[in-house]
Amino acid sequence: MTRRHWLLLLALARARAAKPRPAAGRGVLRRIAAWFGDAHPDGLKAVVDGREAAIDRVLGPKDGLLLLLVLDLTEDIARIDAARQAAAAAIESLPDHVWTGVLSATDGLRVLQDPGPDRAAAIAAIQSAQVTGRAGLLETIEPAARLAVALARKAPVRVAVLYLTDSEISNYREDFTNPVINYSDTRDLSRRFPDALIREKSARLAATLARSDAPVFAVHLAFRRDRLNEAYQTGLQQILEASGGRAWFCNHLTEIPDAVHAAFQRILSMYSIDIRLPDGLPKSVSVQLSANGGVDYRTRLAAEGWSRE
Amino acid sequence: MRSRLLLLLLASAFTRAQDPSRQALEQAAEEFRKLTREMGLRPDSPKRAARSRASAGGAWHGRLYHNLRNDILDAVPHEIRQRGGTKNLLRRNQFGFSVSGPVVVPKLYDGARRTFFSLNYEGVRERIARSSLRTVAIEPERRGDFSLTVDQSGAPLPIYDPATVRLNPLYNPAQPVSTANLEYIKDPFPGNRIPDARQDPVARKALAYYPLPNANAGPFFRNNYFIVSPETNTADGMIARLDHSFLEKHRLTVSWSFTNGFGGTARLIDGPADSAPADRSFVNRRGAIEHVLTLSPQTVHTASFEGQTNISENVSDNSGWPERLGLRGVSSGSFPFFDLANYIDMGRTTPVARTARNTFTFTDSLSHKRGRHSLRFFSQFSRLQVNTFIPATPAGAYFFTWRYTSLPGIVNTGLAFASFLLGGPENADIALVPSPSYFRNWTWTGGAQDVWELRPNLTLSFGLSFLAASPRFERYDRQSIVDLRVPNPENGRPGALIFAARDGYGRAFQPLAVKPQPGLSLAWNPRGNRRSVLRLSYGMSYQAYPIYNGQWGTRGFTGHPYFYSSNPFLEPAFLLRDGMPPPPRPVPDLAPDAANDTNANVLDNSGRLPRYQSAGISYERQVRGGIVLTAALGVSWGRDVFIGNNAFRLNAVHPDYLALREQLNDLAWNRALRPYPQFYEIDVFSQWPDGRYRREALSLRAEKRTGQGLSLNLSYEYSRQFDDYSGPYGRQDQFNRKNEWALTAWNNPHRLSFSCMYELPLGTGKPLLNYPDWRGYLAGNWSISAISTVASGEPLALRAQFNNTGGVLQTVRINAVPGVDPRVKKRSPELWFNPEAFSHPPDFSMGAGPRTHPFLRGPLSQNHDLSVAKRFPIDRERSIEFTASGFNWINHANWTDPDVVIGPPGAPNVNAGRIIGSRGNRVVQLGLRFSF
Repeated sequence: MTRRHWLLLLALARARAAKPRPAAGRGVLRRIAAWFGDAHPDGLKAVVDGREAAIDRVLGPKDGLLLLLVLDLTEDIARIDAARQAAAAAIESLPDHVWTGVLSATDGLRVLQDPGPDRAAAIAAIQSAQVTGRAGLLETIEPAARLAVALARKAPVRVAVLYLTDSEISNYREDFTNPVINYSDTRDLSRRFPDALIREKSARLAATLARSDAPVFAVHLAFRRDRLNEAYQTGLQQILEASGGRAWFCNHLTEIPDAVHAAFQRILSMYSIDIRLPDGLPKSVSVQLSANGGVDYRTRLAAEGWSRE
Repeated sequence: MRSRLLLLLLASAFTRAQDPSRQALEQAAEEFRKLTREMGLRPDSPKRAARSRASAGGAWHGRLYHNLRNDILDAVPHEIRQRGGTKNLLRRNQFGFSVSGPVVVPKLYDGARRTFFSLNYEGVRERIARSSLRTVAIEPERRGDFSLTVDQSGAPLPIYDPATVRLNPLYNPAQPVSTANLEYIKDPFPGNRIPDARQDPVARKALAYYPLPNANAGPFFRNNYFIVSPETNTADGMIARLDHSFLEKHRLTVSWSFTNGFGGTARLIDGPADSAPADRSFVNRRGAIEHVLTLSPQTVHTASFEGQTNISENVSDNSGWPERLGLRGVSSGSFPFFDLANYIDMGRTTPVARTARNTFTFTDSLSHKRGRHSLRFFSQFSRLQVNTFIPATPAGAYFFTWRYTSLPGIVNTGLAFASFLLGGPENADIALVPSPSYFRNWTWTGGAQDVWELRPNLTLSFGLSFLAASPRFERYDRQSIVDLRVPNPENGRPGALIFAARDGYGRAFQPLAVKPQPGLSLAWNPRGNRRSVLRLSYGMSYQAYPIYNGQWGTRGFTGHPYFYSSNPFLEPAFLLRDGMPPPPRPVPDLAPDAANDTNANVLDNSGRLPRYQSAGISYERQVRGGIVLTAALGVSWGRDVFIGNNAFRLNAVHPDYLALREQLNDLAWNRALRPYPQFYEIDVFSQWPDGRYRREALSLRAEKRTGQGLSLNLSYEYSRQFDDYSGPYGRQDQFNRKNEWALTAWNNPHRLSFSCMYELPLGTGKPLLNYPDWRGYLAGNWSISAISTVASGEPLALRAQFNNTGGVLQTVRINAVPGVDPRVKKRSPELWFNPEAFSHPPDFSMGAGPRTHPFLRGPLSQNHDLSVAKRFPIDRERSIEFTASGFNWINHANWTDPDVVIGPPGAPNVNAGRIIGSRGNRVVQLGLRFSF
């Protein structure tokens, strides 16, 4: 190995690492999560509210993916354990270009394990995570999404957030259940529709998350049927859809492995597309992505993302 | 060799370096470490960042709100509109605030991530009018003139003079008593008028406080009193909670709440003679502490303690009313309770009362996951204290019936109000309660449960717990009971009073009950299809010994003398002008015969507790569009259910004795036929374990879940429930329970429910009306919620107008007329069922009809509530929400049940089968909430 070999190797490495990015145009840059199935988005075009928009970058399933797995687990140990096993199995089978960081949502957002190639460490963090505390999804979803967005802006990787949650609306620190305070007030009709507070919180968070450039997903381990939790679960789906993600709800313990698997598959097959939006758009726009080979994907997003502070 | 190794290392480095994904990931991971450190999400974050409220759960959040109801917004209730009313007072203001967030004491403590609080306050100020349509004596009747008084068929109702009663020398005992064969003769009052001089002075004075008719709903002067009176409600309450996490594995929650309320009831009569329930004040205090310890990721321990007290107090005018009415022998100052049968009563029961119910509960549970087993061990101990002072009838209760002014043995003669004018109650009682009672008991439940994942698509859950229930005891052992195994010293018959902690008896009269409560359930995904779930379940549980409010079971320490007429057709228990007779025994009186000649308190001491079992099967399938369909079959059944006096009469005379006919009207003769003749009646206080029920239900449900802000639920249930105790009129035959097995009085076989929540897809960021300007602000953030219920009516409990059975039967059912269909071709309020299909049983006989009719039901009822909300966002955290809710928003009038009373052939009830009213109205509530 001569000095010449050394220099050649280093030059090659630098050349590969410094992949040039297209020159940035004017207008707001937004990132969209999209799914094209088996089709390849060659020659991808974006139309925003009927106007063509420039695509800055397309990251597909073969590009790096940073998955932030957030644990929000406080209730039934049987379901929690099933979710842990399923998540461990999913992480075990992840390809090399997918790294997982593990966070906890109970008592505020906290890092349990940094993202890295060491899957055993991630699995160990999941297995040893505490399962008590208050539900934290509604309180932590925005900081988690902001963290993901910041990462997506700093590095050319796909970034997604996945919550494993069994949150129950009455287990939050902030009270969304509108509890009866005066038991002697028998004609109180204000609690006939107890879902108002949850709907309001969901709508506010959905409006905020609509500006996120990173999708947030959730596997909810316990679908509940009471009116309060139905409103909560509907609101959760709304929030996640606004961010470009979605939720899976499990009726029963046996559904948890499939739901976790489906969530991982969905995230792995995600495309992240940076679009430079034309100027003068309304607050909310429809986006159509099309390409040869039958690619046609439509979505809606806020024209303005979070500021790049 | 060395250069080869170096080459390998370099090749590896080159591979890494040339993998852009890896480089990018490493860059991202580095950024992750940096950002999370800055955001305070890592143990090595700077302290200031770690306390960042954004990452730790946000700053303080909360809301201020006000809900308003006013009759200007409402429809006039149908029951008021029918009486010609145009207004129904309603003023309701409900206001409060809520705030929660990390506990922060500047420069002293910052609880971000560790210590959180929440505080909720709510106040209510309300006045709401209540209407009531009743019957009062018409003006001539108040003067003693009954010449206009008619029976339910419109025929004149004769009032007989009890002073003229005498034996009929022509009476033939071999024939039933009838107008042609009277045992006793009484003369009617001349002109059907009671002379002033014969009227009782106490009754006359009380009448000064009795209202005059003010309506004419009819028929025949009935339903002639319509009152609309405000009910008031004042309440203030607060809930505070503190949540603290420490040492990573511990969480402590402390909560405390209070509420103070005052409920002023709507008046039935303006003035001291009001018979509506007394005004009540309420106080509630609750404190709880919970500790959760994560022993390991697979093991969690939870312990909690909760203490709660509920105090309620009845408040009434207590200003010497018996004395002012001239009623002697009564020491309490409350207005006496005069029961006037079909006419509105005067005075009230429990005018004065105070009860404090204190509950202390300690709960401990351990959850552990081991392999495919999820184990849970739990234990809960509850201690209940009931401190109660309830002298139910401190100024006496006086019951007036038609018999005293009737022709002896002949129904449809005489009138309770006429008996009242003469001052002749059929029976009366008075409570003598010198001190409160302090009842105690405890229950413990403990057991284990395992959720076993047998296969990936099959989970079995089974558990066994035990309920240990202590019977009631009294702090100072001031309780007693009649033990039906102990001979009575007066007559040697079974049944004598025994006292707690005396004469070898324990502090309680029932054994400690320990009962097993098994449970089993199974969930299976057929063929491994996770979109389908089949569930099977079975469970058994017991109800613990209750402690009701009231001083039942303290006879001897308290007194409750009863005075009965020796023959209600011939003479009263006493005359009001003579005053309440002195109590036959002093208080206290701890003799075994102290309960003789009263309504004795008897407790089942076999150790039986109500047992409930249920089994079910359901199949759930998720179909396209996020819709879940569920079909379920369930059956539940219970035995030894607690029942009360209307369903259980231990001292009932056997119906075979109905053959004795008029002799049964003689109290002494009647009592001699009873199993426990030393007592008038036996009071089991709604805790005799003798009821049975069975319920079968089929339900279908469709749910649209969590899609596009829309959640929908549609469910239908068909159910049949039978029992041998429910209903307004109780059991007819105490000795033939099989004959009492009938549809449950409140069974609604068909029930359809619908509910939805929808965040409308309008405005900025939504598919419709996505305006970029101010219009988007108006069009967006609308949501609706709706709840609708439609239920078929309850089975009709038909009954006979007159109960002329000498007190042998508590209620008399009707007979069916063979060949006559009880249904009508077109049901309407004018005729809901055919009364000709039923007949009134003859005197001294039982009706052959069932307790509740197998297919005749009351009208269907429906209710539809709707709430529309509009949110005005101010910024990311703050918003104002305006809500308009309409309860019964389509202003639907639900008909009341038809008149189910069947009269005798000579005086049929002209209202039988008819519906005379409807109720309900649209109520609108407006709400404004500021959230931050």
